[in-house]
Amino acid sequence: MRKHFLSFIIIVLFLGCTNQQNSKNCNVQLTVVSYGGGTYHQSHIDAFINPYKLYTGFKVNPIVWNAEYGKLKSMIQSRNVTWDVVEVTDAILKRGIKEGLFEKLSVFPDTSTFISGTASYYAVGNVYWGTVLAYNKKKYNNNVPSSWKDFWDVTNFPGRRALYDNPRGNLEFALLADGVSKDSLYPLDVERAFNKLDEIKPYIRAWWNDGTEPVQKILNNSIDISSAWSGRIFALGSSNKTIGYTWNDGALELDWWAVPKYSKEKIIASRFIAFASMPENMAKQAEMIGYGPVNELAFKYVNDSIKKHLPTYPLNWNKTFVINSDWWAKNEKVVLEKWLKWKSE
Amino acid sequence: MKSFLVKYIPFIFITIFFLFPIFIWIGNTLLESGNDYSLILFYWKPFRNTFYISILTSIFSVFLSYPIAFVWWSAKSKLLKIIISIGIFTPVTFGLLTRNYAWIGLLSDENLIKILSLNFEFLNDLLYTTKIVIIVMVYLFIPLSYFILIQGFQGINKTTIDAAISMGAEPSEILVKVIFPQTRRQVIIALFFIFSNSIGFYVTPKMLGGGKIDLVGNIIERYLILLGDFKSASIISLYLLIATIPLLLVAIINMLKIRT
Repeated sequence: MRKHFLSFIIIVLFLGCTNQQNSKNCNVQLTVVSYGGGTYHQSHIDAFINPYKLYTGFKVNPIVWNAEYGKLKSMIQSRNVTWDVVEVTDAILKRGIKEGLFEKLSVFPDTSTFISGTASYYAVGNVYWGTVLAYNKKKYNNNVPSSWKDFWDVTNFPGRRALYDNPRGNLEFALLADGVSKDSLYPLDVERAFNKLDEIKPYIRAWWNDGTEPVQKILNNSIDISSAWSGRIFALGSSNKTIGYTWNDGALELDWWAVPKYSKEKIIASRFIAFASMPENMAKQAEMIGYGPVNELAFKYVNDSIKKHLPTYPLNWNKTFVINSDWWAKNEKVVLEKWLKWKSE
Repeated sequence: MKSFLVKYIPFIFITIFFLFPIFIWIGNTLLESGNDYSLILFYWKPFRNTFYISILTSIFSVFLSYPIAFVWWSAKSKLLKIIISIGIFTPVTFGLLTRNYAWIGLLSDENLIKILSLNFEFLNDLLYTTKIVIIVMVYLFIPLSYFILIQGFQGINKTTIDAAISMGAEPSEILVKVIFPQTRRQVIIALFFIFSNSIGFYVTPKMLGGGKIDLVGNIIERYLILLGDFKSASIISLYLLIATIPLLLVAIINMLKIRT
């Protein structure tokens, strides 16, 4: 605890705009890009960005992106980088490091209490988030779907379906529905997965691209059962009587904070990341969005009632699997091309 | 010297800021090694769908906006002219996204459809199908087609109509034999123009098609934005550019005022 308090003081004192000597630093504008919008972005704003603005006096510009890798790449290629901190998923981080898109961090938070494998020279992990099976509770009140086998079972669980418009995640769900066990998912049998997907394709009413879509569509009765990002459902709060979801067969992914190459505020970006990695701040974020912070020390600060909803809670963690980003970093292009062709068949 | 500049400034501007970049892009793409030109075969279904949807869009847009342009031109009351103009162009000011969302909302909103006493099931089932994508694209292109067509109508020589009436022609005959031929050029321009514009569309098919209708624009978007694979995106775009060459020829022929 003392270690953290000390680093906290150092960050505040040496960066503060409130310090008169550092008044020229007040022209700093940091652009922080979160992955996905809606309630998730709000959790970043309330837990990290506003507190950071308060303590340092810097201007922070919080925006969102939806994994527009091409946009990031062209920004860096043209040396005109307007983003300072970017939240990336594991697969994008790996691809980006290979293509030289990220800066090594200048300031390193204390990552000794981080879950193993969630910190590197280029990036620091933020949360484990999950894609889960979500459904309209009112429609399935007698017969609750609890696995992807149920999603594929259109006789016993009839309804309008939706899935994420990307093979990542869906191929794994198809294999799980086809009887493959979670431990033997990778390397993915792509043929088998696409054959299984052929079965459910006629019943898919829509493919969603944005995190708010499945939640909105179930709420306004366009879709009955779908995959969805768990945090968006969690953020609806206790007033949510419509959407149910299960951690069973859920797909977990790790999100990282990284700094794009040629960012104009590299050092301050690193410091923001260090700030966002502090356990108290991560706990605050977890309470709002229900994602699993990678800083295990953060669990101490999370409210008990919320702990059981986090994907990193042992009972939930055992029901889920983690998407293998190495396999996806290697195969993403070929599989995505196959996916695009398959969707038009 | 001054009149030369004034006459040709738009042309020079377009050459520098539009034609040059396009030629640079085409040159860069063609000169790259390792280009996979077979992408058009790999994605032949999206290409085919794009072609069909664009043709239908252009035909229906022109077909539906022709009567509106005709009424506007033949209207004697200035009020009617104003009402038509406002009615056609106000939706355009709302923007593409708003109008797309409006259609989605219209087809999903039970209460609204009940008020209009239409069949909800029928409309709700239309959503996320190819039919509705075509309907909305036609809706989006009617203003453009109308704008092109009224240029044609304004070029009609009124004396030819007076002559036809004095020779005892029926109204339907006048329409077919006097008015159609004089607006034919603009009809052709409108058809080709809308076709070339709609082959690049990706927002409307994505939203109204529920991600199930993938046109060439959607494929390019995935390569460009999701993968950052600028090479493949360029190649597919080149194929689209080739598809706009007929429009270029039509435009040049009309500019040179070749009689066809």
